[in-house]
Amino acid sequence: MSTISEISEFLQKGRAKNVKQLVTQAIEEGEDPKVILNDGLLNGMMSIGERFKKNEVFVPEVLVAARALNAGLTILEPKLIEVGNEPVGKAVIGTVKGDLHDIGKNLVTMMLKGAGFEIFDIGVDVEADVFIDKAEEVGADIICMSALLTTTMPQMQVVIDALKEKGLRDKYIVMVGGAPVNQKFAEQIGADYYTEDAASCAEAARQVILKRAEG
Amino acid sequence: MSNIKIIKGNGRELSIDREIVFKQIKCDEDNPMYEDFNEEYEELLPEVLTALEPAAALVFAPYPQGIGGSIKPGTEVLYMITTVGKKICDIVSDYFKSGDYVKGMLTDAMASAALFSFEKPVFKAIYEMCGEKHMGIRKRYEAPGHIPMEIQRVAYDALNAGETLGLTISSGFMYDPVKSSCQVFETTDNERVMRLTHGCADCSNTDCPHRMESVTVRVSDPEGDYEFSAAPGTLLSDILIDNNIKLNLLCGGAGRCGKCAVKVLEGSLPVTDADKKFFSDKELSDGMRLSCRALVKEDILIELTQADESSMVSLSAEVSRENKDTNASLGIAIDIGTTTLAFSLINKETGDIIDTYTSINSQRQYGADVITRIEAAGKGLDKELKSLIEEDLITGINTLLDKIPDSKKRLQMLCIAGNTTMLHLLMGYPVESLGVYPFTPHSISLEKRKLNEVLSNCGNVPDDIENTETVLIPGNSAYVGADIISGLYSCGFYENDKICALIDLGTNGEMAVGNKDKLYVTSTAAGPAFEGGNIKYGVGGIRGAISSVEINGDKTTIKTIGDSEDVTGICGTGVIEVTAELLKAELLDETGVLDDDYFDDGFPLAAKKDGETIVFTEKDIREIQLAKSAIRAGFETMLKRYGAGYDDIDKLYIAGGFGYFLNAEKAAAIGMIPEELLPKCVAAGNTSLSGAIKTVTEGEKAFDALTELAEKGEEIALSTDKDFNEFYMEYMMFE
Repeated sequence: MSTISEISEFLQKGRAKNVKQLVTQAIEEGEDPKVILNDGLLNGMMSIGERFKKNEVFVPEVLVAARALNAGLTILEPKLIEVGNEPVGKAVIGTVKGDLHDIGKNLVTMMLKGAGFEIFDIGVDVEADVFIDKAEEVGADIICMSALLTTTMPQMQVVIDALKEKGLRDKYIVMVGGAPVNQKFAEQIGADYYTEDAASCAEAARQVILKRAEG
Repeated sequence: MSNIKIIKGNGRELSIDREIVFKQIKCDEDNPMYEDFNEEYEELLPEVLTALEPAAALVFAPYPQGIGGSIKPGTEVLYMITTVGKKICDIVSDYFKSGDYVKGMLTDAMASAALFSFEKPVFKAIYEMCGEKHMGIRKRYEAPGHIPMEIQRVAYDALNAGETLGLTISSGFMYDPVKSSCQVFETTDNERVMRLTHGCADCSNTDCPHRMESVTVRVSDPEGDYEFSAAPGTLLSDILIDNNIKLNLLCGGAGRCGKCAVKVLEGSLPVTDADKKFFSDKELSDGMRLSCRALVKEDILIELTQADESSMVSLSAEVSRENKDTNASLGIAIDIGTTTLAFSLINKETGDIIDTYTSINSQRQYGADVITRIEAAGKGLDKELKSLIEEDLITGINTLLDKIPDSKKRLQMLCIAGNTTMLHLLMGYPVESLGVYPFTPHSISLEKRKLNEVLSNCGNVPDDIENTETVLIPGNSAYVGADIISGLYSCGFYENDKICALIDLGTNGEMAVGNKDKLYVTSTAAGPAFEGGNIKYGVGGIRGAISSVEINGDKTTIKTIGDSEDVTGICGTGVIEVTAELLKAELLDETGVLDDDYFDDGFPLAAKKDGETIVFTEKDIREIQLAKSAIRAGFETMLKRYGAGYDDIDKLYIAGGFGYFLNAEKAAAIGMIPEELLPKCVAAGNTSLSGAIKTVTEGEKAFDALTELAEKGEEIALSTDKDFNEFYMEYMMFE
């Protein structure tokens, strides 16, 4: 088995130490950092996401895999910068104003990283302007919003309206999620995508970006 | 706003339910990651417990207009906000930020579980608050499932949570730190209804990972049924104890003693293996179950079947005469027994006993014997056990003093005796080492403290007596405690030239032999049989308990405590008497086998009020054989080590509440004590209390004698003694 596919295998088993060591080894062997990333780390993480969606693995397996991914990335990132690797896309993510729920948003962040995105996590209780300013500042492709309360869900609408007002609505892909949110609500407020869980969100985000790149 | 009740907890005292944590992160035991997660959990636990800063605030207020929900505006509700503080939330965030999703999810779930477990101590406060107002709780509401989120703002303001708990509230009515929770309890005038637990049945959040249905437990009572709510799968005994229904888990809830039996009237409880051991098929079909083994999964109506112990006869000193002297200085002597407490108010100058008080040791709900108490303390109930005994003591002290004018100002000394475990639990000493080899006590020296230093948890020690000198009698070892040293002191072992012996027949059989020059002590595990434990119809020394038995041919005559017609069971003395009488009537052979006629169904003694026959069974006899041979073998071993024969013994003191009522001849007839020593037997009653009374009267003089006795006693370890084992087998028979 090649070092690259071993990275993917060990990542799926959540073996952070092995992943770290294999990434180091692959770099020493002169592998292209982009290949280590895409065919090793991200391949492993996306396989786990797939299996999660098919109910073959559960939350714990995803968590350990994500931790292993993070361990690998810490080593690989300087190399990626050296070779000028571009992320699949950039996403700004936060929980809307009035809502302090953190965990769901953290899990989406985790899965988006695993799909090759560069993530800008702007935290919880985030004002509409902060979403937009951050997206503008970093040149984001996607704005992800989370809300866990029926009382804070309408804040998603506020963000979308503010985007429209500033004439920026079409510049960004808007994705929404959280326990009380559903497809109908997403359509109602004019969001682009609603996904049920973190893994589906990452997959949808990746496909959207790839499709857009194809033009 | 003085009517807001604030409760501050300590994270280390919270118990985190591992099952809840793993359920939340969706990691069941079959998951291949389970072991790894379990390791991480163990690793995180100390960090999490240290970071927790549990606090709660409670207040009654009318439910406001304009919020909506199903509570009628103006109804009195109780607002509760609980939190585990900011530190733990920061730890969760930091783990996520660093990319350690495993630790992030685990700490998050642990914080939630801790917040949940903090409800238990808070419920105690709710009980108190409702008790004062004579109100019950009809229903519990939680936003946003049952009630609009806006209520969190109302509760926040009513509890002044910004200041009292240091919370902030978001525009979406969420609290920061996020590991905080708001509950609204709708009150009812029926104070027997206490539906405190989370009810998910009508919550709108059907995907919630914490979702569970709630079950209702009703306890039938002639004066009005009690009603409680609980999570499905909760132990029935836990539900009852949490709701202040007193249960006597003599075996600590191990399904061994059968004393926590209940009868299911409506709904059903599955039959457990323990049930099958204790109940006949008829009893099972009648709905008899052990509450300590029963997991409640549906709504039930039950009836308690255990005897009411409030009439338990405890032995205290006899009141000597009417005491009219209103200037004399006073003292209080206290014996903390594992089962009962005895208090005497004494004229410190004359030694006259002015009044007495006895009560049940409230710790009994967590186990009948010292071992189950030690286990309970090990499970984190040590603080609870200390509080229970403190409350018992202050109740007794106040009851005695309140009857006498100016008594609080005249109280000069309290003296407390009790076995080593009881005194450890009272003082808040660690007890783990008392339960495992080499059974090392934390401290057993004589202590002179102020009363409020001993009763350090309960905030209600009256001002006048908070500085009163309080003496704890010293002990000899983990097993031979202050109760025995006190007893030896009261029987004059520190000044006797002649050799005497003492047997204390409490939950443990402790004994001593010696004189002022040489003293041997030991203790033997007699088991709970003499207190009614492990005996099919065994009860403590309560009203209606069979205490005396005579068998003449076909006729069996019984006597009950209080001469009550309402026979409740058989107490320890009754157990010894019936055994002795069965032997005499030759219905029991020397190996302990009952006559064929009674072998299967037991020997009938009396009928209960409901027609049920109280029988003494073959299994009961086996229990007695074990218990009595343990006492006798301990005694014989001790004499042998000491080098004394029966002739050398001047007096044999039989002590303990049970010892006082004991018919020594019948005890000798079953071989528990030697026939030869019968003429020398002295029923000494509660010598532990007598020693404490003598200490109060003698004051400083007593301290040296007590310390000397405690230090002089040489302990014989029976468990490793070859002679003991031989004696034990030998005295098992009735010969």
